[in-house]
Amino acid sequence: MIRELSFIDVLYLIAATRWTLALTAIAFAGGGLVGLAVALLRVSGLAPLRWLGGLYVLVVQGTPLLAWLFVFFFGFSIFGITVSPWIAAAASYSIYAGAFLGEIWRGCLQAIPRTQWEAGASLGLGFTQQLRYIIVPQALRLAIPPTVGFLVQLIKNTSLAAVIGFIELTREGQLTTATTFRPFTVYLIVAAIYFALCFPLTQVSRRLERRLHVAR
Amino acid sequence: MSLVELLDVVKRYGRHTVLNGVSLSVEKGEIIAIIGRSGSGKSTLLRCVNGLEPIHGGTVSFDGTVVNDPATDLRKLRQHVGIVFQSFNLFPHLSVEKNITLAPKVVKRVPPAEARQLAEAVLRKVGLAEKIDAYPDQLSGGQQQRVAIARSLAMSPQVMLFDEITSALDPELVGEVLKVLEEMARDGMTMMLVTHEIGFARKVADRVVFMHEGRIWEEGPAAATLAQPRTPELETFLNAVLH
Amino acid sequence: MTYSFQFRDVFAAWEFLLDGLVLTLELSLFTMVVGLAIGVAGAAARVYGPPWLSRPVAVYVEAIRNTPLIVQLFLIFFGLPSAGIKFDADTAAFIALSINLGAYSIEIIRAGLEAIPRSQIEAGQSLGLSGLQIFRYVIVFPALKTMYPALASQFVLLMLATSVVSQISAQDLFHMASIIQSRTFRDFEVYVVVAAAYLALAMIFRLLFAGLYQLVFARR
Repeated sequence: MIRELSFIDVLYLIAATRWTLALTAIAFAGGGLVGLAVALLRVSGLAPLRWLGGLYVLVVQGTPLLAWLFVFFFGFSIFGITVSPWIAAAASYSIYAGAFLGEIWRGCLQAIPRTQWEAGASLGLGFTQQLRYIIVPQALRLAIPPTVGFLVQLIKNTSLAAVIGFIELTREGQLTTATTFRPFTVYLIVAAIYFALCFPLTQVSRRLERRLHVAR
Repeated sequence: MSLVELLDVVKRYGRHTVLNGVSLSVEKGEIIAIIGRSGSGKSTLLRCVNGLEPIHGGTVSFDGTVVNDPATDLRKLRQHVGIVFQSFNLFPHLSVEKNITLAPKVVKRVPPAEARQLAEAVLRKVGLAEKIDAYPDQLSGGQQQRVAIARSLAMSPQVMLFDEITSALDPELVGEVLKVLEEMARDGMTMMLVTHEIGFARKVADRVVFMHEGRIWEEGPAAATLAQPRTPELETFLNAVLH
Repeated sequence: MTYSFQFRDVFAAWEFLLDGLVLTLELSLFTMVVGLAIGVAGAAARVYGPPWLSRPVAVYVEAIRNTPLIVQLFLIFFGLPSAGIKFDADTAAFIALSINLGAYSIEIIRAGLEAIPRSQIEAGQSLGLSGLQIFRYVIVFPALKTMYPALASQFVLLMLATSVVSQISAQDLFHMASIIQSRTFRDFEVYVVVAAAYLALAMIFRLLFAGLYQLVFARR
């Protein structure tokens, strides 16, 4: 039964956006924890730890996000475990975000000059203390623009969750298209909503980046 | 007619007036040393001569052609005005030879064989013939600067502008560059130098121009003016520089 | 309950995987070439072009970079037919991916162009070179060298992103996974194998790009 595309549909689309944002938040939280671990592994003094972190990043950055979604959602079902779209999505995106955030934060940690570490060591601080009091505060400042930039990537990438039936903006767009048969208009609206979410963040990230460079 | 003529030149950066009515004539074969504090406008003055800086008032002429006229073909004019910068500005991805022969080949259509000979000749003039196939990052600062001079010379300019070309060099490398300049002076090249090397100015320049607050504050024969400054500002400046 | 992994079934369907791989490679390579061309032209327009040229390019870049690839793909494949323009899955895939990569490439190449110090351009101007000559002899090579790592990274990301065309039933490597799954019911194994295939591809691409860099940009 074909329905006319109405304002109500637009409202439903906008309402679905909250799941996009929810998934983004979960991905950022999960990915943040993983990313922190990865970044610390990569800058640690022990080679095997660095190697481990590097391997994780290499594998995750070398595989499509879709693959993770499918492995968790469809793959695990053969073990007799039913994985809900939420769990599959949360796991996939946390793994994915963890690798990229880990790389960004590692870069920020390593951007702090060696001389800062040496200054801390000369004052008698241990590795963890140097990290905590000297390096991380400075790295944090550096990390904000690219992290905000990655948040934009994350919001866009949540659209892939639609393929495992996760209800968010893109999936809602597919469903609306199926009932109204107006794919062009629907997807244009969907794109516009994503744009409204992402563009301001992109601008914020740019402004932060500029201010950071001026301050240095 | 003077080779280079500046008449009441005015230039502003936003609300700041960098050049406040500067008039200067340079005759063929003359060597002018421009000195002054940073911010006095001396680099800007130099960069007006080859049109790198647009001006807001007055005229800049080279060999009769008005530089700041929008109708002037700056590209053609720049083939006759050579400039060497403080930070050398060599092209890092090109060898010494290619740095030197790029403009002759591309602008003047000099054939490759002739261009290489030209490169060898100018490199010999600056004492770096053996470095013809080296790359800029393999050379010391002084060597890079001499290559930059050779690059400008390869276009056979009628006047050479030098914008504080020794300021970025380690002290022990300054001498080799100044030697090249001295030889160019002996060969009769018309030169305008912005410099901090007062001793060099005294020895080699015909005239010295002291800039202060965007104006030519004092001007005169090099040795005399530097020995007997007429204005307190020049005296203070010389004392500060020659401490 | 113990589960026995049966990767053998997946490997037995290697011909399907190969077919999919071919399309994935075709998509990747074609898109890289077109995307690079769009990138250079667009970046030059943004950095050196007049406002009437650089502003539309900026709009294009922002529109693409702030919307998801899958939505762009759906717009082209599902949306355009209602405006009278119908593409088959492969063509729609080529178009969407090229438009997408083009926008990202413009940003990367633009950064490379803007990284060239003004003094280099002044040196070129002072020698009497024209704008085009300066672009060709002084700017392009160093700019490409600076932006190469970011561009190579983006290209690898694109290759992985081609997996999204499976959602409009283009027969790429990822789509083949679904086909094999429907025949063998080895969900877990098939997607792991396909993921590993992409990983291998990604590493090969990275190595090739690194090698290319050495060949073209590294001296001595």
